Amino acid sequence: MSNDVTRRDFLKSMALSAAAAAAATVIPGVAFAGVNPMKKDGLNWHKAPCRFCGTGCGLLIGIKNGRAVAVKGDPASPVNRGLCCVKGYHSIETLYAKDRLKKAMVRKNGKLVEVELEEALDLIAKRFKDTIEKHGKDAVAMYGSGQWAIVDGYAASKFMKGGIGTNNLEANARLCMASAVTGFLTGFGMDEPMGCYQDLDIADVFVMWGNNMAEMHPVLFSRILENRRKNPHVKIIDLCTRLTRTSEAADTVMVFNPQTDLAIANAICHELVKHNWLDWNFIKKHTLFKKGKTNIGYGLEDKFAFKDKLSEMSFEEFKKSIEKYTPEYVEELSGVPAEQIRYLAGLYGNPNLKVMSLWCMGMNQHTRGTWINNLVYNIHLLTGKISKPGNSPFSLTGQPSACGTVREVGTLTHKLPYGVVMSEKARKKAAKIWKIPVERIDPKPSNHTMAMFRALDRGDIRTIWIQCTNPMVTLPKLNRYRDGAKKEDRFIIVSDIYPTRTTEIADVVLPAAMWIEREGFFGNAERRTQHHIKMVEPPSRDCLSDMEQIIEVARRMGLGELFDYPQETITRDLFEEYRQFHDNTGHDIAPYDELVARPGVQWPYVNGKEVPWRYNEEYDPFCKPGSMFDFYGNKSTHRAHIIFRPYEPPPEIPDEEYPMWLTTGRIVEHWHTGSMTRRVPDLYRAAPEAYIEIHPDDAAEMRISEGDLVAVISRRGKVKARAVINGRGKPPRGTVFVPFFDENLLINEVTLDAYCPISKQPDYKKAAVRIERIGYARQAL
Amino acid sequence: MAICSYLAYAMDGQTEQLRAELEALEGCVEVREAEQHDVLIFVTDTPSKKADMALQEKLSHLPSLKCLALIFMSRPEMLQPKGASV
Repeated sequence: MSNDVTRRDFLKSMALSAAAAAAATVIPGVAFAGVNPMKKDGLNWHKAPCRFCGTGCGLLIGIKNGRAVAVKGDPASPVNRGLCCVKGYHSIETLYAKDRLKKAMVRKNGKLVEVELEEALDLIAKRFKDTIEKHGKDAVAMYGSGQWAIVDGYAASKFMKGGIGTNNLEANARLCMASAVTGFLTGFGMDEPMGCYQDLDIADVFVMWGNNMAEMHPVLFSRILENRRKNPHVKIIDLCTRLTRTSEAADTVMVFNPQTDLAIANAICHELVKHNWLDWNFIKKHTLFKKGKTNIGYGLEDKFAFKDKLSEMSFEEFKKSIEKYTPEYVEELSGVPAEQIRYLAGLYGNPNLKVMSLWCMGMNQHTRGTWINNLVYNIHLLTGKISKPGNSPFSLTGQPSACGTVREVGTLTHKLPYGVVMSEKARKKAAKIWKIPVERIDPKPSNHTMAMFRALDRGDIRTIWIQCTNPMVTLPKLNRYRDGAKKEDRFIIVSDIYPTRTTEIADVVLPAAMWIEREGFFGNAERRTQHHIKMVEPPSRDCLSDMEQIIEVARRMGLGELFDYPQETITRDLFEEYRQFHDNTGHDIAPYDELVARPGVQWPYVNGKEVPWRYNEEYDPFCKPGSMFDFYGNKSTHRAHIIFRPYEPPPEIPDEEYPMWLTTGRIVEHWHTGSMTRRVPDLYRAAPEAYIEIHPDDAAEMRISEGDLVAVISRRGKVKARAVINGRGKPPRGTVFVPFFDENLLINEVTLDAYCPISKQPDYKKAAVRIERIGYARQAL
Repeated sequence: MAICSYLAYAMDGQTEQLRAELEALEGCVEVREAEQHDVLIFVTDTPSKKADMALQEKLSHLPSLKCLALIFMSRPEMLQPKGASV
């Protein structure tokens, strides 16, 4: 390209940017797809969704000489408007750590040795075939991830459910958002939020339900803070089990005893009903009162089975059910003063205030996770504060495509890309699109995640392929599941980009291409599908995308016809095939070309328009004309469900032997198990190792000083950690907190594998432990 | 001989049509649609004064165009030393 042409291009780029800037002065916040800052320093800038959490921030990645060298927030992205968090700004460094896996490895004589990729792929296909022949199709399994690109998950679903014919397909999103899914399905008949991030700019009150948003979703939290800066009446209420950076920013903090969020939500409903702070017009036209089963267990036993059943109840019965949840009764249970509960109910009940409830793992990783999701929806449905700008119960997500891939493609044992395996209609639809006999799709769900790893331990599953996730750090009661995976005649295949605790136990390791080393799509928490191109080459030609690995193994197993597309267009072709599942379903996804051109498009996408607020006739074309609100996911009634759920205690509570609560979680610098962010020097230096937060009075009683080495002991295991007293998080007396990002401090050896019987999502927030000082600050770990 | 950019408002609900009409114009090199608004930005690059005038004439008659604002204009040849090609 000549200098003259470059100059002319530069002027055109300047002209485009000037027009975009002028538009922004007339229409604040207006964004134009693909209008990037001008090229400087020879960098080519391309858009991509961030690789980390479920916020779905738009990034611009600067490429020079085939290498990603710069990153900044995409001002055209309506999600983050040019801002990133510390992980986003460092995201490209995760591509280039020295120990990146570049060669396939196979365990020979007890040791992983490098082999040619072909040998590893042949071995995987042979092992899958041999296992199926010897033990049946349900003896193989695949365990994927909310970090899978949409096409990875779709290929996995087609391979496992449409090819092999087993429903042994799960993903780590079971550990992080299954309760949100069952909350939506039981209440509304359809998954994913009705609102969107614009609510963050509009609402008057933000209630954090066990949600440290300042650290986990900092870019979105900054929108709330900006809203409050402009509108001083805006209030942030932090309902929490430990003080965090979110508490520091909150106007009111309410610390509750673990599990009692169930009682607090019912107490709010009690107050709403008592004072008649109800939107009767909305309730009568758009809701039904329901109740489910009680005393539902905790899923601690192998082959635990539970099926909930909702039945009708009247408003009077509902009123009677919540009668006992007076603020005074709930104060005793939760530790939150009755006056604070009344204050919170008053905020929800004030018709002049728009209220947004936000939650993530605190409500989802909960042995009554589905219930607490239902209860928060109850508050919004009783007050009619739902599906309207600024009135929004909103479930945040932790992975970049937990929504787009796991929930929407349905990489879970009971799901198909549209509908569930139990539905004949859904099976027929899948069989038609996949061009397979419908009989090949098994109508019975098999193993959800915890059941899958229990089956691996027992030997019911013999071969498992784990892609893009690190279960040997994240599974609760980890010792059991690691020992199970290491048993004789278990065969573990792991696809990843770096060595992890999970590759340590693998029989085959496949090096993977990550993120911008391949073309992909993610789907974020506000129903936004986001595309990125392949920008750089992976570190070796053996690094295939997860989708490509699946296709290679499928071909070797004689299932190549499932993926009969040209190599150069297969990502686009598979995505367009997947889109067919959602045509005219209320989940209509924007076409490929639209996604390529824009930093993200929300579904349902109908006639070129996105739907920011679902179920609201003003915005959602799927609502019946004249309905005002139409909860069409509940197909027979078109009404949302107000479901009474009681308070029930957790399966394990502190006692004399194990007197403290253990809660686990994340910190802003590191993402999940740290396998990427701990390899970024600045992030590693900022938080090099995990630790245990202890209340100063507890520490004094146990003669523990800052930095002392302590043992965290439960009925399942024991780990060692450095004590932090008055750190960034401050647990109340009787509670300790340990983050799980550090593979050298496997806190999940201590946690309990109890789960919500409806969602099957484990509870990582409540275990009983004992703390013992075992060394002084100066002693090495 | 000019590179120009404009801000264009479409008639209600006619953004797609305006986009198509702009893209069909000779000299229009880039059109971008705003997210959530009936407004577009576009860039033109014309080789001669005559082409420039023809483009202006066509723009003024687009049926789906409600309002147009010229934001940027540059004549690259004016910025070059005499005799340099543009």
